[in-house]
Amino acid sequence: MAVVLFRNTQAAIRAEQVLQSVGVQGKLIPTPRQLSAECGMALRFPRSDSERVRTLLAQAGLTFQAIHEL
Amino acid sequence: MIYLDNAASGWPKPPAVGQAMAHFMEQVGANPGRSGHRLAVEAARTVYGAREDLATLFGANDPLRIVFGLNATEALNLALLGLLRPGDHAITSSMEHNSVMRPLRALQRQGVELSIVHCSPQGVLDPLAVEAEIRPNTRLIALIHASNVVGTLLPVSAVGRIARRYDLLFLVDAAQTAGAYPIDVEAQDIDLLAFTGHKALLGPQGTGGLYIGPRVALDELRPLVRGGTGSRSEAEEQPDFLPDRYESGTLSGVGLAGLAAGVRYLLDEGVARVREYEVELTRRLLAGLQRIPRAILYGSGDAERQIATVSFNVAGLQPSDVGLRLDEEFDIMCRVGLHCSPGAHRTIGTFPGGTVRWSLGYLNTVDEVDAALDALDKIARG
Repeated sequence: MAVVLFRNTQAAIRAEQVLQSVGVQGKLIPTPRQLSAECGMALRFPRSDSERVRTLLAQAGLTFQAIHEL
Repeated sequence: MIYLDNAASGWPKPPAVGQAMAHFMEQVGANPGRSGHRLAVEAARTVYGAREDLATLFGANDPLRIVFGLNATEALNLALLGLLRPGDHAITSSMEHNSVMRPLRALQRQGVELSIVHCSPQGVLDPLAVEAEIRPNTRLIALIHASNVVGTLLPVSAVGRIARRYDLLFLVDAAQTAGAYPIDVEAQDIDLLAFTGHKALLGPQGTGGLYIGPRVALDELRPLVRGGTGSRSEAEEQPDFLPDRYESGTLSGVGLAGLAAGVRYLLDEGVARVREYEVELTRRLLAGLQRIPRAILYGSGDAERQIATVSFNVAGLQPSDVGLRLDEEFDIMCRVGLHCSPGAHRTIGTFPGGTVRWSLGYLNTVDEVDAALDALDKIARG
């Protein structure tokens, strides 16, 4: 699994939509405590989709804080 | 009962609005933007949905540019107090509501220069008259989209083009038009759009906000309120990104659930269809008012040049007496007086006595218009 960290929850919600629209399995979860994050919601997705997620978020103009592999 | 006060607050709402609010209260409830649990995610989705639908309605390409607040007045205060500094010059019209005039007058006392462009007695604004006021230190043009007194539409697209040409910011008060008249922030060169949830957007009171366009530098727009945003939580400085910079404290999740339902209803109906229907109703109303001998009509008299808001008086009667008789004898609800727009009444020549205002909404019917005209006819005949 991997997670994308965002700077606010609204960006996380939008990212979930973006992923869902192309069939990538994204789930909003509480930000794992060991990861330093600016907001309480993170988007978890299959690690194998990491590159695809990066591209999708860039195309949607969504800034994210980081992508971490769990 | 016939409700003709939609300019004050839209009523009734479509059933989906109350249902969405009840659903939020009973099934969701959580703080929309803080915690990461399932209910908080649901609440955050609700709020995000409202942002998205409003962005669609206004032709904005980024939902995160929709900042939520209490109402249009707060949004206008954010824009005006946030942007204007002593030494800046602002231009506005003589038809504005106090939600624009009172902040501007306060800023004027602090050293902001203000030009008020006169409109005709029908409430019509000449864009060239706005252009003539532009100076080297002009920062902002602020206009009401349509008068809440006589309904006259102001030439927002033309003024937007002028503002763009001179590299000024353009603020539009869409309290009366959002949901009832097409708005496209990109095509109309609108940099800041203030809207309220509880009028033609058919949502509940306590919701509203400001669209902040890309030409507004966020470090030049001071937040009105600072506080917790559920982001950058390790910092004691206000975030510098949208919408968080201007959304401190808990939003009204229940309110925005209702607003989202209202906006969705409008998107389904189509604003063009809403507009067409309201033009027809207004046309019928104007024609009927013109037939009542002692009725004095204000505004352009042309349903296409205004929104569904009409002001009139009955010769020889005080507006307050007309309003009271409409309410007590005929069960018709409307607003009399100065409508928080002393400038507009000065412009149309009804200061300080004011007018009787009938403001129709999408849920009013032809029968209601006919019944109201009938009632006024009886009152006018004494």
